Amino acid sequence: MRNLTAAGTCSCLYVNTLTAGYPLEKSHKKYASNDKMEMEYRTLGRTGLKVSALSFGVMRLAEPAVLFEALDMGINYFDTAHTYQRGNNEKMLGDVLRQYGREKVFIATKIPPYYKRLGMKRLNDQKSLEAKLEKSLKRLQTDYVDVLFLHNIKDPDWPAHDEMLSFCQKMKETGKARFVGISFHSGGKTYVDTVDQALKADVYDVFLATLNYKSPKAHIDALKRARKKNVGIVAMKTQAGGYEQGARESINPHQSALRWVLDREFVDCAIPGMVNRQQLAENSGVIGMKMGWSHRKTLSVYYDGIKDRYCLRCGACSSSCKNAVDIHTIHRSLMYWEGYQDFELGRKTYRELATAENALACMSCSTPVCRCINGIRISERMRYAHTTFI
Amino acid sequence: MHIQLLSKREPRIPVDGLRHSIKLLVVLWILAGTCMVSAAESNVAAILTARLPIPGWKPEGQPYRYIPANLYEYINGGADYFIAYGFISLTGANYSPVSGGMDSVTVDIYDMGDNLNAFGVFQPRRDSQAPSLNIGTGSFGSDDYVAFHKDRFYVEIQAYITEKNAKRVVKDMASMVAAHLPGDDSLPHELSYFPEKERIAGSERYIRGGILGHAFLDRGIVCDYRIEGKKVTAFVAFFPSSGDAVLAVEHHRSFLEKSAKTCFPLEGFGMHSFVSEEPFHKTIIVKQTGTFVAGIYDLTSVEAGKTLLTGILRKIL
Repeated sequence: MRNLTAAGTCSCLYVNTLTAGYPLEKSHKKYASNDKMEMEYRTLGRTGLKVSALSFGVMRLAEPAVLFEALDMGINYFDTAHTYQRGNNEKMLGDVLRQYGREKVFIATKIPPYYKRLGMKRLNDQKSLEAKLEKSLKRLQTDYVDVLFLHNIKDPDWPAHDEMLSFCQKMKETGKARFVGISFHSGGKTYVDTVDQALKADVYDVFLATLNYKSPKAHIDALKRARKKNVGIVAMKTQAGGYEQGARESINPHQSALRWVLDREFVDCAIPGMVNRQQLAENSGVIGMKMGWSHRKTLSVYYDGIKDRYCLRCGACSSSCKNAVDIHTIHRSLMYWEGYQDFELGRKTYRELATAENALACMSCSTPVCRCINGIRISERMRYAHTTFI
Repeated sequence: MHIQLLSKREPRIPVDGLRHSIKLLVVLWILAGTCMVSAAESNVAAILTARLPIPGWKPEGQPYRYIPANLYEYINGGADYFIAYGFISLTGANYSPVSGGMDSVTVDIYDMGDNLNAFGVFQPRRDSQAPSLNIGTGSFGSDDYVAFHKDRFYVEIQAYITEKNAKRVVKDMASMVAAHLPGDDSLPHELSYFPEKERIAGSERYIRGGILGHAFLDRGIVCDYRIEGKKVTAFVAFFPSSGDAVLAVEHHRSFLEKSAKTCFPLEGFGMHSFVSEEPFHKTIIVKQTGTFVAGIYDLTSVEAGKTLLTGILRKIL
């Protein structure tokens, strides 16, 4: 086995001495490039865990050395899932944390509550959920996870399902999960309903949710409601895009986007997925930074470039059309073409709409009342879609 | 109207005509590409509808399709992984027994664009303990799950099986899909850069995003060897030009020096090579050749690494 012991092989890196129960909110750290970086710690809602504001989405990572570097930077919360790389992702994280010291960090993993296929309609029973968690614990080489998420909640009723509640409670009682939560990234009202239903269940300690500077206000308000009930909020898909190189000196749009998320006071940590040291450096570059006017401007200019076309899928436009035009699907068909250069799929998606739902009505609509709260000129876009795809 | 007089001695194509010809060629090239992609998609859909299911099973609805824009809706965050490896589309279908019951099989065929990408998503999912099933180019699985890759395709078949006599259904469907997918069963040619002697079978991975966690070594193949009883890892990173490869070596050297490591020339390997200590990976040796950067890390003996590196460089050339 590789010698991946930080202290043994890398004298330039400062071995992190933080422990999971470390009482301080802040700790001074140095980073390999000799840049000063002070990791910021926040309390993860009612769990009381002191987690690094910049945490680590491990999903795509192939190189364990990046995890050691993250640990040395003070990152102490690592997110993986039962299904990532068919469990090999959990194995890699388990190997690293066994060498580093399990007790010094927090592990979050996710178990799919549904039997994936058949349209994800069938929920797993408690026994099979327990079997999945046992498998995950074995891969992670630990007896417990700090946060166990029900993965990808697609139906707001799932968090309140007896089987789910019973599973979560049992895992907490047996100590296999210190805390439980749900992860979700549905759009529109489902997002809000999922938050509200999960809050009613009053079992879940943490929400792992999509949040970025494009998030609809309704989603942000829902997370604020959760935070008021002391639920920990972990943000994912924070940058809504990729990475840009370097930029520890001046902030780039992706860094601005991450900083925007971390500046939301209801957010406890963010888990951008990272696959190399450069991405780690880019993300760590925003720690300690305050979002100033120039950063907001960077983000605003970036968003201005795409906002007239980018549908946030908030669902608010549907009710504003006096006809039955399926604005959401028509936007999606345009996105297939414009965003992914797949004209056929765009046209196919459009043509699958019933005549009453496509944009035919828009062609003769002289008094459109449809309105997008984010500034998309809906009627123009609908007419454009119709002339393009029909 | 302006009429251009052409010299008999120097026949010339009017500039506008040339432009039109180029435009036409570009359009034809795009159309040809589009047709090829569409043909591949229809081939895959035809396998799901005409070749499957096997007797005793029936389709549940029509085949479905996902593209990068909506793959999240199907496999959640796992979509990131596929997209990073060049995912183009997923075509899949569900099947259930003709006799009824709760059993079901789902076949998902991912078009990854080329065989290297398909290998790239297959290999990290492979269970190192699981034996190969001799389906497609590489495969592993059990009674209720089979994954394999063939040519540009990565295929996953999952099942919920309760009937004892249905235990072979997943493997049978996988074999049927593999037999009808277009392309051949050969491994990506990039694997041939690695000498077979002392190579640990099944350790080969195609990395995108950074070998050793370095963005400047963005993509390449990594595999393990056992030399003198100790495991070492070899890599070959690919670059668009030799200039980019040289630059990557310089970036690497710069990273190590910033990490307080000293880089020494790698004796006998000429320019753009060095030996140093890689954080978390013991001794590393690196050499650029053409559009490639090759290296060995986790070394305890530089000399043993040099022999392997020489073998790799010979294979590349």
